[in-house]
Amino acid sequence: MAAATDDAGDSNEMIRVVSSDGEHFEMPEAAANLSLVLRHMIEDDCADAAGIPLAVVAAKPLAKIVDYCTKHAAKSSGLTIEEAEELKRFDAEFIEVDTDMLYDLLVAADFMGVEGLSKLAVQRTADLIKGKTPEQNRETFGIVNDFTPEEEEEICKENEWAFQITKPPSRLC
Amino acid sequence: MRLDRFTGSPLTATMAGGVDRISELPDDLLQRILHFAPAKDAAATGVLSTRWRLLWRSTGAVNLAARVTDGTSPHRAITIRARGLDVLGDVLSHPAARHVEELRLGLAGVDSVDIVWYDDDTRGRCVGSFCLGGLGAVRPENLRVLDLAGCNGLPAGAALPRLATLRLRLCSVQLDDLQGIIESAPELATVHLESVHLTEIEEASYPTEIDAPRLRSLKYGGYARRFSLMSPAPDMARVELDFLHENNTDMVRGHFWRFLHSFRDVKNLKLKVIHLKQIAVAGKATRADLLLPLPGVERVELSGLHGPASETAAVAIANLLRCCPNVRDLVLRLSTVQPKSTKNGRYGRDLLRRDQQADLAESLDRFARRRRRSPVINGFDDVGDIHGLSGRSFPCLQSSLRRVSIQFRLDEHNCLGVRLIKFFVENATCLEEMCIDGGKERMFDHINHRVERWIASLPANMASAKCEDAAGSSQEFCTADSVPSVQRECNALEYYILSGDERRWIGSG
Repeated sequence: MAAATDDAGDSNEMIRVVSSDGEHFEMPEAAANLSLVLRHMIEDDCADAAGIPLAVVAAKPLAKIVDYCTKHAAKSSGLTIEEAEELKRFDAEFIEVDTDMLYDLLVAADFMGVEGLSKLAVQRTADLIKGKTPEQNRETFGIVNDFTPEEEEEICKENEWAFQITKPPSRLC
Repeated sequence: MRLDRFTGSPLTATMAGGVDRISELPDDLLQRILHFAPAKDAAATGVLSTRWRLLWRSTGAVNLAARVTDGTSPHRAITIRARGLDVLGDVLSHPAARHVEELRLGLAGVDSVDIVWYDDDTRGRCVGSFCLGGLGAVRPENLRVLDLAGCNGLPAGAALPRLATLRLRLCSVQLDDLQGIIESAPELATVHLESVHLTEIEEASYPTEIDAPRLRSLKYGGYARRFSLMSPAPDMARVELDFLHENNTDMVRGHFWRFLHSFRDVKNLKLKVIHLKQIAVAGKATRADLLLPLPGVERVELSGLHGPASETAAVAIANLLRCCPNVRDLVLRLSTVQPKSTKNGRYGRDLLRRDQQADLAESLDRFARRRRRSPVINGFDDVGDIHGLSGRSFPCLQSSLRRVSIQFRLDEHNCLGVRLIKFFVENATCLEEMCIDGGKERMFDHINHRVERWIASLPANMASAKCEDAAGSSQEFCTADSVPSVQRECNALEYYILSGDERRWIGSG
C-alpha cells in the first residue's frame, strides 16, 4: 500500500511541457506518464521548471493531448461501468476532429507514445476510410490521384474483388 | 457537382479542404490504419495513389502476393492471408480466380501458431480455423501449386492434372483426402506436411502411410509419428524430416530411423530433431533393427540440440555416418540452447541481437587477451577425442565425404563442434572443403590456427590448406592475428570459417 500512496503523492506534481511553437502546458504527472516519451524523461529527471520541449508537436494538438491524458489519468484504475461509459463518450467526442487535426494527433500520439490515443486516432482514420469509394477517400483526405488511367484500370482489375458491390459471401464450408 | 465513378452518386462533402497530409504519414502508421479497416476497404485504397498502391498488402489483414502475369490471364497466382472468411470467399468466387495456377491460402496470424506448438505440448491441437470444401471459381485443372495454412479439410474429388506442389501447414485433414489428392494429381512431385493433423491418426504409434510413388520431394514436420510410404518412390530426390519436441525418447528414436527406411535411395536428406541424443542408437540389436544403409544419400544435413557435456549427440552423428556410406556433403547444425519460442516477434529479435552482442563482446575480449600474449601456440592440441566417433572407421570418411559444414556455438575450447572439426580433418581422407561457423558475430581468430595446425600435422598427401573468410567485416581481425593463407602443393582441403548470420552461411556453401 505504501507504493500506492507514493504514486498518489507523485501524481500531484505538475509536469510542464513546451510545444514546438513555444507554448507551455501543464499536466499532472500521472497524465504525463501515459506518454512513453514523457515517462522516460521524468524517470531520467529531465522534467524541470523550464518544461520538457516537444520539438515536433505544435500547441494545437498538444493542448488536445494534454486534455486526453489528464482525463484518462484521472480515471485510470478501478473504473465503474458508468465511468467507463463516460470515458468512452469522452473519446468519441474527443476524436470528432477534422482530418488536419486527426493527422496531427496521429503523428503526435505516435511520437509521444500515447498508446490509447494512438489507437483512437488510428481507428478513427480507419472508420473514415471504411465503406467509401476511392474517389470519396481522395476527397476526404485530399489525396491526389497520380496514376495514369491505364495504371488505375490495371489496379482496379487486380483488386477487382475489393470494388465489387457487396454480395453475400459464398460459403466455403 | 462531381459524381463518384464507382457508384454514380454525388461525392460527400470533405472534412477539411485541401492538402493531402495523410499520405505523408510513415508506412507503419498507414499500415496500422489499414489493418483496422475492413479488408475490402483496405484493398480499395490501392488505387488512391502511388503512395497507397502497395501499403494495404502488408497490413496483416489481407495479403495478396504478387501475381504472375503473362499478358493473357491476369490472375496466375494468388496468396491470401485473410482474417475473415468473407474475403477468402470473395476472392475465390471471383471470376478472375478461374485462371489461378498457384493458390496459397491461410488465415492471418497462422504463421505464429506453430510457435505455440513448439512450446506447448498440446498434442493434436487443431488450429485449422477455416474449412475448405471447394475451390470457388478456381479451376482445379489449372492448379499447379496448392498451399494451405490453418485449414480444415481438403478440396477432394477433382482431378488435378497439373498440380505439382502441395503444401499443408497447421492443417487438419483426413488421411484419405490427402491420399485422394495424391492419386488425382499425376504430376505431383512435392508434398510438404508441416504440423498437419491427420484426423484418422489418433494414436501416435499408429503408422501414417501414404502411397506416392511419383513424389520427388517430401517434407514431414510435426510431432514424431510413424510415417512411411506404402510403395517405393524411385524418383525421390529430397526428403526433409523435422520432429517437434516429444518427451518419449524411444518413440522419437524409432520413428526417426524407421522414417528413413522408406527413403533408401534418396539423394538429399535434411533432418531436424530437437534433441540429438533422442536419436542416438546404441546396442547391437537396436542398431540392427533401426539402422539400415541409405546408399543413395549424397547430402545429409542434421540439426539439433546437444547437452554441453553430453557425448550422446556424437553417437547420433556416428549412427548417421554409418548409415550413409556414400555421403559427399555433410552439414551439422549443432546448438546447446533451446530456440527462442518468440522467434518471429520483436522480442525475439531483441534477444537474438543481445545474444549476438554478447558473442561479439566475448570474442573481442578473447582476441584482446590473445593479442597481449605473444603468439604462443600451445595447449591447442588438447582437443579431445569423441566417444562414438574417434577410433572407428566409417566407409564414407574413406571414400566419399568431400565437404563438411559445421555450425555450432563456440562456448568452450573443447566443445563438441571443435572436436568434430578435428575429427573430420583427421579422419576424412578425401575432404576437400570444410565450413565452420562458430557462432553468430563471433570472430574466428580463436579457432583458425588450431585448424591450421591440425591440417599441418596431417600426412603430406592431403596437407594443404587455404584459409578464406566469408565475413568481410572480420577480415581485419583475421589477417592481423591468424595465420595468413597457407598454401602448399595442392589444394586438397579448403576450409571456410564463417561468422555472421545464416544467410551468409548458406550463401557461402
